[in-house]
Formats: sequence, C-alpha cells, structure tokens
Amino acid sequence: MNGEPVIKIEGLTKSFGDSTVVKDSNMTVPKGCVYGFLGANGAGKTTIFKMLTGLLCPTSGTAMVLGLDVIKDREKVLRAIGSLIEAPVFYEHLSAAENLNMHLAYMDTKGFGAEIALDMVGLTETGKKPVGKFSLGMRQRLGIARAFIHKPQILILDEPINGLDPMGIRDMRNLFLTLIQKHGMTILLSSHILSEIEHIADRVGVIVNGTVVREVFLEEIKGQSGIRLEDYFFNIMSGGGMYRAKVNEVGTQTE
Amino acid sequence: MLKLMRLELKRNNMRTYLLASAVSCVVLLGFIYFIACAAQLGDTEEFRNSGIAFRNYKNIFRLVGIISLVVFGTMSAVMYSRFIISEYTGKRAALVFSYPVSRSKVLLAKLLLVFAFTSISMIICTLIPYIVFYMTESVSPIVVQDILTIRLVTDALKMLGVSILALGGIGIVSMRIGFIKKSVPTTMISAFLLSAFYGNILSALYANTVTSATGVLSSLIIGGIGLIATIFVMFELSNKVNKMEVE
Repeated sequence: MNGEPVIKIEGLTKSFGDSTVVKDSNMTVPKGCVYGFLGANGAGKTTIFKMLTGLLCPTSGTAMVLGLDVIKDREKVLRAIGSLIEAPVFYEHLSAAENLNMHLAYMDTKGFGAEIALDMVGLTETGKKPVGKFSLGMRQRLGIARAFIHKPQILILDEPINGLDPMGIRDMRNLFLTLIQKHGMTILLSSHILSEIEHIADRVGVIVNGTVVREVFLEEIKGQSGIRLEDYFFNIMSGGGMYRAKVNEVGTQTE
Repeated sequence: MLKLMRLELKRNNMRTYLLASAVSCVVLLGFIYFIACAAQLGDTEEFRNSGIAFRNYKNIFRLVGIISLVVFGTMSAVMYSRFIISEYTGKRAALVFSYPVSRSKVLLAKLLLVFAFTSISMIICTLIPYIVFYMTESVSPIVVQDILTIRLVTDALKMLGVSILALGGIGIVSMRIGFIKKSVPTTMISAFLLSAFYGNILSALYANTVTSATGVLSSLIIGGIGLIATIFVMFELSNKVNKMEVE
C-alpha cells in the first residue's frame, strides 16, 4: 500500500476574498489505496476535492494528480479521474443509461459501458425512466456509476454513501474494493460515517479548519490496541487531549 | 466541433424550441394577412394622408420583417439563456467542467448551435409566410392598391439576410448582458429592446435605400456590427469561462 503517490498536494491554499478556506495543506495519496478524508462540516474537504478536479484554482501551492498539474494539464487530469462532488447533477429528462452514454461520449471512451456500470451499482431496472424521477439513493448510485464508468485511474468521491440505505452502503463498499482490486483504481473519499471509513480505508487524512493536520495508515491506528478511528478522529478534532488520555489509559491497563 | 454540437442537441430538449418556431411561423403568417386586411379596412382619406398606411407590399414586408426579428431575437435570447447562462450557473457548471474537453470548444459548440438553430428557424418561419402570401396575392390579391413584384420579394429577402446577421448579434449581446448577473429576465428584456431598436433601423433603411449603393453599404455595416459583436462576445466570454470557478 506504500505505492507511488497518485495525488500529491503541497502548500495548498484557497481563499475567497478575505476568507481562507484551505490553508497550507499537504496531502499524499498512494496508488491503489482507499484514502479516507475526514473533517468536520466546513473544514475544507470539498474545496480540496474541487481543486483536485479543476473546479477551483488554488490561491497558492500545487495540486498534482498522476504527476500532472491540475490547472496546467486540466484536460489530461480530468480524463484520468472520475468524481462525485456534492449532490450529483444529471440531465433530468434523460434516462440513467442515456446520462452515462452522454458522459462516455464526452470522455471519448467506451469504458465499462452503461449496462455493466448500471449493473455494478444495482440500477439495472431503471429502463427509460428519466433521472428526474429517481430517488436520492438512486441518484447517488448513478453518480457513482458515472464517476467510474470511463475506467479512470483515480476516483474522487465526496460523501459517496450519502442517501444510501444500509444495503446500498454495503454494496458500494464491495464495489469500491472491486474497483481497486480488479481495475487498479485508487479511491479518495470523504465521509462522516467513521465506521464506514474504518471498514474500507487504508489511509486517512484529517483536515481541521482548512489544514490537513494528520495523515496516517489505518494499520498504524489499529496497531495501537484500544484506539478506534472514532477516538483518533475526535482526539485530533479536540486538539490531542482525548488521545493522550486514551493512550495513557490503555498504557495503564497494559502495565 | 460537430460531435460537441450533436451532444448539445442530445442533452438539451429541443422540442420546446421547435414548437416555438412552428407557433412563430403560424403567428407571422396570420400577422401578414392581418396587416394586409387591416390596410383595406383603414383605407380612408385621413388614413391615406397620414402616410403610415400599409396599402403597399413594401410596408407590409417591412413590418413583418421587424416582428420576425423581435420574435426570433427573443427566442434566441431564451435559448442562449438556457444553453449558456443556466449551464454555467451553480452546480450545472460542475458537470460541464468535469469533461476533459476544452471549455472554449464546449462554449463555441453551444453558441454555434443556438446561432444555427435560430437562423434556420428564422429563415424557414419567415419565408413560409412570405411564399404563402406571395402565392395567394398572385391569385387573389387582398392589397389592391399595389402590385406585388418579384423585386419586392427579393428586397424582403435581402432584409431577411441582414436580419439574420443582426439576430446573431442581438442574441449573443443580450446573453452577455444577462450573463453579468446570470439573469434570464435581463437577457430577455435586453433582447427585446435590441431587436426593436435594430428592427427599426433596418426597416428605415429598407424603406428608402436598400437597392442603392448607400443602402448596400448600410446593410453591410448593420450586419457587420452584429457579426463583430458576436465575435467579440465569443472571445470575451470564452476567456471568462476558462477562468470560471465552481464554488
């Protein structure tokens, strides 16, 4: 899992007027892993995702994807990534398959093909139903299908399991593992459901008030007995006190 | 570029615009007969002396030409609003910008598609009333005070040609005005005012000098202004879209 970095950001800063949303952040996503990006609401996760997908320009610093600058090589980067950021937007009058075929046409590739991709996300029986009539969960599944249908090397998914039922969450978890193991993709995702990140992530990054303050392989956290991802996350959010107390507590018990 | 235009056609529901064009055609056809009949009803001494009567074909074609320009100018503004302003506003922009295609090319495809669609619609939907009116007037004229010559029709067609160049300018300039505040109503009002303004200039020109050298030169200037405005806005908007961010 310590593969070469496919995403590397250095000193990344983004300001909107007087407000700085992302401050001097560094982040490294190794090839072939699931990178769980954690942070409170408004911490800057989506802003970093938007900079990685060329939707926002960094105020300073660099964001590299597969060794390419996301601004200078925007089109090459977009060809190599698939993304789902915030609530997915579709052509509401078109069916799921038509939306996916449209995406493939713009991507200029056959990818998995609409039928297979819909099958992979469990949307086989939508037929000609326009996307405008889809439920929230169906839209989310379709958004995920659109993100990977063109066989990108990297998937950037912002809260991908939002609106999914427990079955859906499990299906997506299996799908992500398939995409990594069988198709060699790397996944960078954010989620507020820490237990889910704990299930699928290999590495986590934590962003607090616009700065990525910690990056760690999940094995390292799991290696410290008694420390769960939830404890680790809340500790960082609270400035470190809780973690030290927990470690001390575990240490005392061990002694 | 053709592929991008085809994709634009596919992902935008064109049925509404086709229907609007068909309705405009019927309205223009009804309007041309309405003016012709109204001219006969108002054929009084006082009306004749006023100098504004439509007792001749030239004036009828002028008025229909203006109405056609206003109708299709407004329609082109609606289409530009839908294809450009709505697409580059809010979350929809994130979808357009997620494709690995030059932003300028996507924008150009949208502009060309709207221009081509509105121009072709305007030609067809203005020509049909002209042809039908010409045919019925040849057989059973409503306007008895004038003779409908082929030259009058070709002059009307010349006006239509210049109107199409003007149409491109009207649609795209009003869209650019609306784009400042990302407002569809602003675009529509701008289009209506520009069409009315442009239509009146064109009509005044057509009334006097369309066949003279000055007339041809003036027509070229009017068409040229539309063309230059179109090209200028295309470049300026392309730069803006290239630097656009999706917050």
